[in-house]
Amino acid sequence: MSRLQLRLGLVLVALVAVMALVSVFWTPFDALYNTSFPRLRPPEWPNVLGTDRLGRDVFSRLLVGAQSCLVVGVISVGIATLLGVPAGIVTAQLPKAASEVVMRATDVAQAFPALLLAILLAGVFGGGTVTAMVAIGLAAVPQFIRIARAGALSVLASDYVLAARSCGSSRLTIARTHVLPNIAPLVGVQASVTFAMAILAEAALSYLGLGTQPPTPSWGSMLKDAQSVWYGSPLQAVWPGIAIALAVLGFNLLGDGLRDLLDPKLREVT
Amino acid sequence: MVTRTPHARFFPRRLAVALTALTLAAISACSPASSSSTGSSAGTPTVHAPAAKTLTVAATAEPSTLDMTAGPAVAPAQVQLYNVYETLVKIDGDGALQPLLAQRWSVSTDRTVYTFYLNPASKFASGEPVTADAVAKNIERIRTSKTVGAKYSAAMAVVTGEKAVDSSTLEVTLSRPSNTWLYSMADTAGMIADPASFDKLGTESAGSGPYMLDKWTRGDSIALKRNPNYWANPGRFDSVVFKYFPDPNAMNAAMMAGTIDIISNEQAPDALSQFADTAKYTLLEGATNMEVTLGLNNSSPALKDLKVRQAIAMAIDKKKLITNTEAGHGTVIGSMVVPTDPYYEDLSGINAYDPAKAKQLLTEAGATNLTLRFKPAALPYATAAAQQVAADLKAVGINTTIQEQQFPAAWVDAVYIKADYDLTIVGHAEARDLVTYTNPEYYWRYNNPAFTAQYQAADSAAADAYAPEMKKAAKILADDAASVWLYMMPNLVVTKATVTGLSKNATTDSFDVTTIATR
Repeated sequence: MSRLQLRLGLVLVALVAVMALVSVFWTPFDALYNTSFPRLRPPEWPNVLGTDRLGRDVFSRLLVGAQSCLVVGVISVGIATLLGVPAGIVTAQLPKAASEVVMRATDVAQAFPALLLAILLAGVFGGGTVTAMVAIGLAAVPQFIRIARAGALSVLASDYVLAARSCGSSRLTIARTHVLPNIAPLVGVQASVTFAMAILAEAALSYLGLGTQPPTPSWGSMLKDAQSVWYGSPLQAVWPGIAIALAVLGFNLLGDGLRDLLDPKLREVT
Repeated sequence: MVTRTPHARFFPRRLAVALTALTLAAISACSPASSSSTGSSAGTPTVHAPAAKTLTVAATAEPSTLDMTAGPAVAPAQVQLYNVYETLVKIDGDGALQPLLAQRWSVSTDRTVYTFYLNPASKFASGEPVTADAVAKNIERIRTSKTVGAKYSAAMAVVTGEKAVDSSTLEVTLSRPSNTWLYSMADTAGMIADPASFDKLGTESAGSGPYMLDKWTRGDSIALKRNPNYWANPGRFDSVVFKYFPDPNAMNAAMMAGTIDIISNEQAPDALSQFADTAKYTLLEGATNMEVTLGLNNSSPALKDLKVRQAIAMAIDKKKLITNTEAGHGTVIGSMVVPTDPYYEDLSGINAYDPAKAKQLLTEAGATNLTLRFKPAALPYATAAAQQVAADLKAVGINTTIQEQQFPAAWVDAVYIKADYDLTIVGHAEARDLVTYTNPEYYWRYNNPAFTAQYQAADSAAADAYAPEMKKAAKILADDAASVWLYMMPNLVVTKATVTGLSKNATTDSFDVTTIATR
């Protein structure tokens, strides 16, 4: 089952990646400024998914929307990983009292919803893709701290780390050569799950007008645009909706599949 | 009329609608804003099917205060002007002045002294009579009170004194003749409240109209009840409920479900085909005072050049824009004047759509490779229009970077106060708002002494010269491409077929229910 999940997840993630990659070099029509087609056209050649309320090709916009989705996902997960993992490893090496203080602080930070943080940042710095990426990334940092700390504590208690210490290895060396490689699978799983959350959060922010700015398409902003025309043209909302659902499903399946694959107990069962 | 778009061939309609609902619901669940909006509207928990004497009106923007003159928002006046608070004179659906609290009025030969003869029967809901002294105190309040918004004080700035000659005769003296002042007296700035309640206007009603405040359920509705002390023909309804729907689809669904009687302004014109059954619904399409305007920052280095502003105006296909953003509803306008204004003339031919000429003007101005900061208000019509405008500008070689501004807070701060923008889009709902171009500090930073002189000459001109002179002022603006006036927002009203008497035009800030009846 885990293999199937993994494969399906990989296929869906690859599909999104291919869409984004292809759209960098080619789209059937200009996704941003070509309003020359009749508006709200149903799917028919050459607009295979129809046109939106301004007469733009929906398929082209869907392809370019994958870019927003992937860029926000990669950058925000990158921010969360780069800040959260080192912080988690350092926290694991702190004295117990100090470590507990940090963990309670992450609990508080984790209680603050990502979307609320993004709206707050957008209020201060103005809405946009960068704001969305930073907000989503910062909101995910506490989860990475927790994961990295838990993994690091387990590794630090092992005999080979004790041996390394007794040989005079510094904390930094131990973290780099022993802790980091051993917690990498855990971080990978968390990154995949966070990626799915980031896609959903980016879509929600763009839906609210706080994410990717028009005319650059985002699946969330395409949903927002569809809202005013959905009675007569329901497919306008279906296409970006399906895209969001499949992308989120793909990254979640990938995360679950990786987790199962990397968990020795589950691997034995399967 | 709107025709329903042919459905996709690849998907059965029911499946498509179901998937749409699911995806919208899923994404909405992630957003705090949308969850609050559905919370207030989807369940319609507090409003029952209208009783025989209840009228339920759906509106979009809920007031933050009941004080109509506290700020620039028109939402308090939408509920209360003419319904709860009356004025000396009233603007009818055709834009003409009609008597209300004043039975008649006269103007001195030098046109600086207005004498109003009040209806002696008129009285406030409290039972106190509407005297000339009470009206004088109201005019003084608008002129001098610090709690009154700037635009209302400015409307009364021309008044130098108000005097009660006797209990029902009022004299108002102006510093100079002004044709627009009497129109201001007929709108929100002219509201007459019981002076005993001036300090409670934010939370209570103290008017002389046929209705009074019953209950304000914040986040949901404002209910008015019949004023038992009304001095003229009593209101036709025991209760009038203004119910707020931030989401136009929820508003339309409420109409389909029969829980509301009137959609006061349809926000999703593409969905009007839902109400095509004339046996059940009536669709009114008329004029509003709202000019949807592409604001140009005239102090921005690139936009100081007349040729660049004209090129921007000529680059925009307004007819296509109306088709794409308002489903074809709306009227092309060529200046800050709407068809119901007494000085309207069609100026849409000035700087009309001509992309080839626009390119030529840009070349002459040396403005090739121009990039402009575009900050539209984050309102549905504005963001849709901004994308169409950006596409049109791109076609003549002007690049834009769009950054939507949350409305009102972010937009007011960045655009209205700091003028930190090149282009913006917002609708101007105020009546006869040509005057804003006389203020060089207004957010479009337009400073043309010739226009200001012409406007003031028109305002001070003899009554019969008012319209011709104002037309000249409007033409100066159009020639100067001070802004690009994209279109007049249509007044799209949907009612149950049983509702009658509603004006198709929205000529004031009010949603006037005093003329409405149900069969």
